[in-house]
Amino acid sequence: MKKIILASQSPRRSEILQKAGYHFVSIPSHVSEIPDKNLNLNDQIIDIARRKARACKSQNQGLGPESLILAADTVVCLGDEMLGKPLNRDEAFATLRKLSGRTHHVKTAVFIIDLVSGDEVSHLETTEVIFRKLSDVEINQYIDTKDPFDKAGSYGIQSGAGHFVEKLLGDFDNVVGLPLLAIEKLFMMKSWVISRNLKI
Amino acid sequence: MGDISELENLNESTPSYLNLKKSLNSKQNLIAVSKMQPAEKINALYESGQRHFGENYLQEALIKIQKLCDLDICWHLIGHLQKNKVKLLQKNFEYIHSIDSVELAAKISESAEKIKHVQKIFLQINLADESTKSGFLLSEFPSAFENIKQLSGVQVVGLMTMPPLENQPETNRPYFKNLAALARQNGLTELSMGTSQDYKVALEEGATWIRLGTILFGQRPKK
Repeated sequence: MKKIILASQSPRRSEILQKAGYHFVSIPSHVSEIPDKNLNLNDQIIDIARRKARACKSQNQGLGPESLILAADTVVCLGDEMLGKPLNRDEAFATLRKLSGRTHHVKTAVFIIDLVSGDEVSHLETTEVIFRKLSDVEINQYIDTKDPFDKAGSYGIQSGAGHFVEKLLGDFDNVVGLPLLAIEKLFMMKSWVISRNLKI
Repeated sequence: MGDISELENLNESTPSYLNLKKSLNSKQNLIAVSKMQPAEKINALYESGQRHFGENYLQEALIKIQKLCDLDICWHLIGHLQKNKVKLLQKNFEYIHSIDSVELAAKISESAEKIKHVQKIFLQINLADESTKSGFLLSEFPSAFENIKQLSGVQVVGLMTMPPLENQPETNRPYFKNLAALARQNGLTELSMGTSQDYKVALEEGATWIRLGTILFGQRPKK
């Protein structure tokens, strides 16, 4: 039975794992999150998740072999443009204005290391999100809630921005930050049995 | 379970875990200090009903917390915490007993706010005025407490102290008395004080959390 180490400090990711009943502990790692521009966009995202997972492994010598390190990185893409976390109010406003009435893609890379075999697997999950037209007033009202500030793309689909979404194609959890469906497929593919407590 | 029966009779004067537990009232809580103890021993004590465990070193603690994350354990961090390790706290510890500066409390608060969490903390008080011990001096406590109360990511639940190591438990009674008085004056109800050597005296003076290591686990294995 394997136990998950979530190499992330995102409260949204731990909530998704918790709701699904997994036993895990959060141990964020210290890594640079500056993308490697020599890679294509998708590989840049996977590369950051890989750095987080490997750093967690090396920064915590002594972890038991029954551990599975899980790291993730989420970005919001509008065409070729990557929209990160906003630095200030103006940036959040500009981002939300760009997303208004348009289609964008949320990509989350997951990277998993099995400490028994040293096996590493990765996956990139993409969800298409279409926003309705947003007025400047409602963008400002939303920014006032401070919800945009710790989130890629300046919005939280599970919190204040759910009603901006006109249509969503793909996994909802992936937009929140962790594609649980895809992760569970990886567990199955690798025949990993994970310690959990299914609550009904 | 085998481990526990061995622990029960360390020597004649050592009470068994279950008797010890029975002797406590509903306001008196027992933290099993499990530093340097393997996860298996923690598990054995857990099987006997113990739920509160205290660790001194963050990194060592995280490894055990991960190993035992399927158990319903309430973890306490009781050792000194370096400011650059604050990010690793997450929601891994229910209580941190060793807050010894406003800066540290502020860092923890900031980090907790990011994950929409309120970290419960004890403020460590240096009553013996020993420069070798950490903790707030009585003279600096009032202003420090005022500052920490303003932080929204931490909640001060009580005070903690580590008196000088003495062979005679009675020598520490004045320190426990003073800590209890300080808590009372400031409207704090929780008192983390008393170890294997002096927990009885600490309880008499109002301890609500005693921190026992050797008495439960025997002598610590050498590093």
